[in-house]
Amino acid sequence: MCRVLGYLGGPVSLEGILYDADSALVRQSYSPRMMDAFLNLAGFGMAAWDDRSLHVDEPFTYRVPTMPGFDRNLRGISRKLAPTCVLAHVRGVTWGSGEIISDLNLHPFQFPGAKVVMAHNGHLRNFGAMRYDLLEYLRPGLSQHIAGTTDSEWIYALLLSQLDDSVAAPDADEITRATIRVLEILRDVRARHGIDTSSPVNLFMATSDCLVATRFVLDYGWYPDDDPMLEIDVPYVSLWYTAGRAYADNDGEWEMLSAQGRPQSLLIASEPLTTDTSTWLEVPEYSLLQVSRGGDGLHHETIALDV
Amino acid sequence: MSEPLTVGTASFVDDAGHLAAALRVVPLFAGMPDEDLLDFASVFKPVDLRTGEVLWRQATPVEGLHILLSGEVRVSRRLPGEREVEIARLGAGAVMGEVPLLGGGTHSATVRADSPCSLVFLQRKDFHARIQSGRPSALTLKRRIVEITCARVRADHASLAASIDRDAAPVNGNVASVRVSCTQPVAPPAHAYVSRLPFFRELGAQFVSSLLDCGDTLQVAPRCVILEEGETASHCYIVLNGAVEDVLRRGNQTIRVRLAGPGRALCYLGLLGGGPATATSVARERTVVLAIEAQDFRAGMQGSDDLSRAFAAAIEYDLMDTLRSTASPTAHLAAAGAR
Repeated sequence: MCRVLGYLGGPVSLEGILYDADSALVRQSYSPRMMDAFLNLAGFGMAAWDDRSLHVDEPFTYRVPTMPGFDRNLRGISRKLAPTCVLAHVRGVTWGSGEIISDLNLHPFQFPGAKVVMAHNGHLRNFGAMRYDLLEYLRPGLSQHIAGTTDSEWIYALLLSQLDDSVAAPDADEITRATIRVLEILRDVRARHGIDTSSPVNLFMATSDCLVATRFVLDYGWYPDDDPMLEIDVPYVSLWYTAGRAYADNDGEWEMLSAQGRPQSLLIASEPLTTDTSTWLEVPEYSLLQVSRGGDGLHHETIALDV
Repeated sequence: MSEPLTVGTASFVDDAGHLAAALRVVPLFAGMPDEDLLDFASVFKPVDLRTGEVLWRQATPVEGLHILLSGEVRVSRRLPGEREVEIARLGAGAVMGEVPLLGGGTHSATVRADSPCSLVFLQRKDFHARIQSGRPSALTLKRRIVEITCARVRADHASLAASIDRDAAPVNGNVASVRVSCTQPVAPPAHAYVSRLPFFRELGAQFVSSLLDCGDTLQVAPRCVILEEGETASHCYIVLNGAVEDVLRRGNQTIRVRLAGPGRALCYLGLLGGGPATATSVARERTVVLAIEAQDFRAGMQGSDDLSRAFAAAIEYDLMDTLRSTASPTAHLAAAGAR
């Protein structure tokens, strides 16, 4: 089960959120606190925006199919960057020769010209049986950009197909509407194939100005009798967030500093970045968290999903 | 500052008899026979704090129960987006950590000495060893902790309901006919699957078949109400497939207080401590549950055979999880439901 991290707000230390917090994302690749027996060793990917950089609405991207903990380049780059929006992902796969470890399968996904990127924590059971039925829901020309073997990339193609313009920069509301439609399509196609086993679909979408994330499972609570990962799959897939003035090292502890009025910074993550979770909130099950920039700070709301 | 339970510390802690006398006035131990109090006194350990010293920090693992014999402590909590907020000051006689003594977990607040303090400490492992060996003192204390936990869940539900709309009444539908028409008997899932679910792992694989035979397995349609807030429960249910949510409904607003997936029990709060349901339990997914009649539930909780003791332990474990779910800070959903 992957681990994902999203950030929106003022400039934040990339090294801090990837490495320095005591349960930072890179540590979660080999020592996650909220997964008992699953390691995320199949690569790292990141898209980051900095409103002080060239081509402001295009992210800086970094993807390697190796473990980020051993990646000196990533460490060195992280020390120098303070982006204003980040979507980062460590990929987890099950043990076995059937898995493909490749940079084509790394998240977040971004098709040529697209302004929105997407990462996924979860898996669609029996995806092979339903994959090509999704073609009818894809905008012409998008399917040719699917280069990897993951269900996640197909979900991304579906998402772009639900936008009014797949290469324009959508606002948070449009991404939310598109995401709900994606979940509806997935449910319908699964039903058509009689697929009714639990499939987590925690999606993370980002542009330079907004983040949208879902905490959602299709057919939660139904598993194959012989599911070898049952103990990992039974708990509802996790999603947490914290919001405030800034995320920073405060006397040796990484924490979200409190804000007066609207928050200026917000972190969303599969699990909190610190052992102390007291300043983090769980996103409710079956819901979506939508975050966008406003003139007075960040606007965020949690929306119940009835898909 | 409240009067100390004892004058001086070490001498009283060293003397089990004096400590037992001090425990007699602590409500959690009130009414226990002298031999039970002496038994507890023999395993309590002394703890002394200087002014400003931290007893434990929020989010650290719970190691046991503390009783404050003298002095005063300050209890504070870190909240999302805030610095520490003081939530209580406690004096002599205060008991801290009684629920986690049974259920474990992490501390929900930081406790710091506001003056020189003396305390006594009962370790979880010592308490659980006494439960395992069937000591009456430990079983009595466990029953009281379960009652306290039930009361806290009820209080949390009431507080959350008031936060939605203080003046609105619970929203109930015409559930009787709906309930009958949206459940049907089904065969239980495979034993090998059931034995891996949380409740049944706590129970023990050797008891799974016996428990499945005790109840009826029912399939429940999505959105079917299993128990309405305010009703008296007639069954305890254990989810085998799917999920049930416990919700508080006021007007057109709803708060989910718990999502019970496979291996979680529900609708038993009233069967444990009496009283009507404090939340509505409704199927979120198509769901299969094991339904155990109230009389069988009570027999299991009070019995002394191995299956009963395992069942009681599994229910208590689930109750602790229920309290954690209810108490954990969760983002409030936007009003007006889904878009």
